[in-house]
Amino acid sequence: MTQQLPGGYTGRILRVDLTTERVWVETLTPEECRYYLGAAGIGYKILWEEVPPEVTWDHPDNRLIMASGPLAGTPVWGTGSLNVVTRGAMTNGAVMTNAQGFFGSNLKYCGYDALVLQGQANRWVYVYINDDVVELRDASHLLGKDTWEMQDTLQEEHGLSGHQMSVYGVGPAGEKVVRFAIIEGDYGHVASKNGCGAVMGKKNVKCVAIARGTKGVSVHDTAGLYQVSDMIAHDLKQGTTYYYGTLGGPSTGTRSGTRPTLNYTTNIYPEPERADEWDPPTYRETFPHRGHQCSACGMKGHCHMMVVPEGPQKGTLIDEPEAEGISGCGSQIGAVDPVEVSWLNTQVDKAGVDVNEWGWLCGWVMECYEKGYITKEQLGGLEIKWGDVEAADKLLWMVANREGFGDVLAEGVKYAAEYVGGEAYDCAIFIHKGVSPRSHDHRGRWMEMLEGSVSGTSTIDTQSNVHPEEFGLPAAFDPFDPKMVGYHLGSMVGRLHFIDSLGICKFTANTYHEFICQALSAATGWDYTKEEAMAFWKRCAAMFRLFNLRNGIGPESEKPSERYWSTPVDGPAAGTSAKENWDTMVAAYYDTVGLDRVSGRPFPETLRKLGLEHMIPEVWGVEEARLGS
Amino acid sequence: MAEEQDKTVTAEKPKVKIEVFAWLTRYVGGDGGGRKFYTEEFTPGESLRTVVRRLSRSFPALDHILWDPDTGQLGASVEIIVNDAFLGITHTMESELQDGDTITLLPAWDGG
Repeated sequence: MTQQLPGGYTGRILRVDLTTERVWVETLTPEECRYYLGAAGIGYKILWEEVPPEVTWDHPDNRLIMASGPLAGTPVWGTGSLNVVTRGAMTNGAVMTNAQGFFGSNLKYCGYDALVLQGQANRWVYVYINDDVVELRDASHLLGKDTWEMQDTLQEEHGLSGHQMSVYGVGPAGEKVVRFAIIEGDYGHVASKNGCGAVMGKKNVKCVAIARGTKGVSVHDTAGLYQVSDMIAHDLKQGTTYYYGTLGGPSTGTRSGTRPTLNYTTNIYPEPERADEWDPPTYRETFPHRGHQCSACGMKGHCHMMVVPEGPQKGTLIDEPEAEGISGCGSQIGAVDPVEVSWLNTQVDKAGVDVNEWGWLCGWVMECYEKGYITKEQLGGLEIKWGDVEAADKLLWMVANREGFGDVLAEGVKYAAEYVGGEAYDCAIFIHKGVSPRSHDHRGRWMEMLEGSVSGTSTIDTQSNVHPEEFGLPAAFDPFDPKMVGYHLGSMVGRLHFIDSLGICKFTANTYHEFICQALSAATGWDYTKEEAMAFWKRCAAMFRLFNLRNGIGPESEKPSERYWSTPVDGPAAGTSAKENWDTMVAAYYDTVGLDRVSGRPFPETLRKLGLEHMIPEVWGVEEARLGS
Repeated sequence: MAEEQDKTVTAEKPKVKIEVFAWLTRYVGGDGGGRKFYTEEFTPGESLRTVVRRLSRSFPALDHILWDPDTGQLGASVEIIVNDAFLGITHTMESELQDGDTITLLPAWDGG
């Protein structure tokens, strides 16, 4: 007898073997839906079971999981999320990264909770999905196209414009397997971390084109879900993102010195008298713009499309950058003009590279050029000085196409710094795992420096919580108290795995977890509590950590480069040293989470508390498992 | 863009300048951009907490967002800079203020 699935689920995982061109569907039981929940849970299960150590990020058997969750396609704001889980190209370890837009809701409306790509196509293909029609189609005519041209072309070919079809794939950078290539779609939405686009490119997949589908989604308690959606919306309307997206970040970051500037050589904005041009109301007046919101999203001030109002690119359609784009294409490389910076940000998305890594790489090249560590000759005649956006754009395409020295830079700033060596190495900003931080100056935000370094996905998987009192944590704490930093992070480790697994945007989840759990309960029919959510997210964090440890990524690489944890010479964090406090921070985090400080493994008791006792024999040995039983 | 509002200025008493920045201006009658400046007198020996609380009591919306209602401690949505240094470096909430100190109230942010 078929068991009744919980609301919000299709119970179907679409599998595509690119090598054999076989397509099939696997089903989820109701118990599996509750235990694995969505993208992170399904993702760690598949990575652990199907991606053994010998299957490196570029191996055909690596899995590229593109998933949503039980809230996808519902009226809850921002529930079109695409979550990508894979073994990433930068760390060769786990990654969980997401983009918004409409992919997640389209996937649900086509009748699937997740798509898993495995194998490697013997020619360039794109995956076409329209309800039960799933095909690998020739993509040779898409090669060389940037991500926006790619979507234009396929929407026109299929006669499906606007939100009738999402196209998420790689630009030229992904085709050339640039290590920090992204998966981009719906004009400006990016799954950016750890080279997920390089994995897609290595599989010879240009993109996934998914129609909106006709299957709809049924939930357990429609009226209840609408009610809690309204409660969430009301709460979100109290925050800055509702009005100005993430534009508040750059202006605040400039004042607080947490906006990266000139590759961490200063915390003083390059042209202080122009800093107010990033003030959100002022910035918005600079461009003709309109809302470009994601599935079911009422955040009217987030995700806008704009037109370049002046200069050589006048009339060009661009998307409003997120805070990291404004920094990675702006202050980090010495660029201050809002029009130039915003245009370059869209160029980065179109080329298909992560704007965070891009900023660290470009800023590093500029500093090295200024100091003579990298020469004009090495760069093929390119002069690249601080703030030169035109030169930065040329460098971008050198990297995306792996032209000349761009071939070295395409491996990411850590590798490039090792290649150049000497004093240039000391200028580079990275985490020793090989991945880059988000585009902030974390020398004034130690918690995120720690988080990126120790998280199982090598990027944020916890992050600040808008209502920490829900979990008995203080609303605010001394950000330079290393014990509190480690404790605070460890107490909530993996929180975003829960949010991402629901198929909801992290910005529209910036509300009470109580509300989110009520939405999940209304959708599924479960009685889902904050405590169950916390157990889930901690389990995900542990499993991603174990996956990395199995692949040789351990405590020795969980630390920042010299420049990344250097002491700021000016600005509001001047004189503070994350480096001197690092061991204390890490120890507090390890102790709070329940990790062995030497090996990085979750203790047997930690695994038992997480319901992962079955992992103990493999992690600690059979004898330990027997002793604890 | 900046706005200066002096409150009960007397020459004898020490004063601090308080800058309310960007989004937080919304809680003192602004549009969520720019900044607003206030001058607060204080009695020698008064703490940062006391002086900021005195300002916030003039603006109920700011008072609501600044302080955690259960504990009375600083809330999660705000960061404070004193004399261009983050809280925790040169000052805590209990530090005594000096004449001419500058206090900045910033909205917390976590990026995109």
